[in-house]
Amino acid sequence: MESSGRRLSLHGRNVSMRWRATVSNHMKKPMRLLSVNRSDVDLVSAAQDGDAAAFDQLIARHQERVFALAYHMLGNAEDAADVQQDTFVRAWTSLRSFRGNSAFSTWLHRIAVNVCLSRKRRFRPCSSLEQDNIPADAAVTRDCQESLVNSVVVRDLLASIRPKHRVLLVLREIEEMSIEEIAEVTGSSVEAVRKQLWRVRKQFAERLRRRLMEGE
Amino acid sequence: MNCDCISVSEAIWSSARGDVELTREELEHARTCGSCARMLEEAQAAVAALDCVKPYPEVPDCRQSVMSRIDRSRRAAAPRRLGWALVLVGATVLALAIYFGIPGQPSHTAHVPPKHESPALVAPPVATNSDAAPTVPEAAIVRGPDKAPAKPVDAGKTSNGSKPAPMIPQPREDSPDGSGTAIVKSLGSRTEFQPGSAGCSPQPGLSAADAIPSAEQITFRQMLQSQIERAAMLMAGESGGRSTLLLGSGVSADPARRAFRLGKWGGLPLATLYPVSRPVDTHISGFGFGRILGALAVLGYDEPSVYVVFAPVTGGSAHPESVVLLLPGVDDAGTTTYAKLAEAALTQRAVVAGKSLPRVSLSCGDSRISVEMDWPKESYGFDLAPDLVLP
Repeated sequence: MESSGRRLSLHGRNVSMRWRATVSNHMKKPMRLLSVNRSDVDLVSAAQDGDAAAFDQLIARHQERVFALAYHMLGNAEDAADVQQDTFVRAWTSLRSFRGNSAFSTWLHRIAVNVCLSRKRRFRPCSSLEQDNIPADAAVTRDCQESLVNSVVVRDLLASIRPKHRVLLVLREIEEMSIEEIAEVTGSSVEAVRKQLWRVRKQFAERLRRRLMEGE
Repeated sequence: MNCDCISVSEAIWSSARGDVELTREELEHARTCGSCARMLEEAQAAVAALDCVKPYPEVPDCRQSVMSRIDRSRRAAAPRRLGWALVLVGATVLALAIYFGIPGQPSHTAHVPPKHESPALVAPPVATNSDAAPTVPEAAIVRGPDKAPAKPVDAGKTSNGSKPAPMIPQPREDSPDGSGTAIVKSLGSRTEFQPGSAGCSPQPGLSAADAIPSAEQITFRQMLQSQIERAAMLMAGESGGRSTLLLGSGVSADPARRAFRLGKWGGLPLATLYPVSRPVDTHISGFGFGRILGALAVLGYDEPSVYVVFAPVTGGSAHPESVVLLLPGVDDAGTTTYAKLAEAALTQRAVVAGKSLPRVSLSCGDSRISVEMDWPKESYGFDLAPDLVLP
């Protein structure tokens, strides 16, 4: 006991980790060995203690969704990659403020949305709608027979919507998040999200109809 | 828009995505509501269109770049934190040093001995045109060691004809840089004098520092007080008791303005102007008949100097139309003598009626200081700087 007490005072961090590992062993989930199966909560907790490897795993787990969100918001892969990096760097610096009131992914989305919005503010008007190596099978996705040409038109339409409203459409219709999750990400109430979503859907549908009529 | 439209719209879009089927009520609403009916028509196309943009390019693996950025920021933050810690420690040490005084080195207050302060004389009755401390030109009454100490240019005779015993101000030896300069704290910020009071006793409202002056302070204050008292006695004697030297702020027509200082004169002294309650007609040998307008106290040296502001009217041996500054002294026989320190051309002399108190206003420029002194029946204006020529 005496020696362990000394170790505690000298190497508090190691003892703390060992204690956690002991608990995990008791639960038949050794932390290091089964790190692949660790939950976000575990990884976040470890990352909050300065475990860079845990944060690395969090990046690996969430980078795709963050990139997709940024891509749909900004319309080009280069900016999306920048936002992806900025989001994780910002997440690391403010990781201690994350208290687990929401899912880590929601919190991360919130950061990504803020980074996107600040980026849009910085680079008005919105970015060009170049083609970004869209996978070849994009043309055969559900209900999208018009393939890449249509996707350019739709992204052009999305770009014409104000970023604060566009994010709702992206999160709901492309990222397929629930209204409640969107409310958490945007920091609005559920009712406010419903109302704004109704408006932006109407706006998007009308513009699309107009565009289609122009095409005809 | 109503609540039904919002919820039906949500259902319409979910239905377009294939997630849910519209209920009969929702379909009924869509039939009766034009906006929702249009939404029902357009939702399918909109959802299909948005599906087009769902694919995204190959996701770059950002782990390495993010971790390297984090590492860089960590490394950059460490010296920054150290820098801030050093700044904090430095600021603390500095604050403590200022508070307790730097050992082995005179503090600011040591450089600038508060002995210049005179609680008895801190609120002379001069109002200025500016609240800021005015700048007074170099051509002045007193100077630093790089210039010779002021000497009387024309030692006049005393009232009884004896030679004057001029009191020449000497530069302070304990000035901060040996230049004879000294900074004197604002003298009028903490004390009040009764209007028209000619007394020199300390007034209430002094700070603790003023209440317990050092020996040096007492010496300086006593000297200044003594000289002011002598000037006050001179005024009273010369006027036969009809005029007094005014030290109170109430003598100004604008008592709110308490900027009594003439300011730093040539970067050195501070001067304070005290008017008399009414101009004193007198005759001073060598200077002729004239009027004593007040007293000018010059601080900033080991020995304070109080000059009499005299405006010769007639019969002056020289410069009959000048305002002169006379340094009163006492010779061995106990007779008051006057030595001219400097003179200033009179710029105006007029009769002004309807004023109950003398008003003194100062207008300080870079190269001169204009003084206006108004009494109920007389008004004097003069520029001190241009003709204040020291030998």
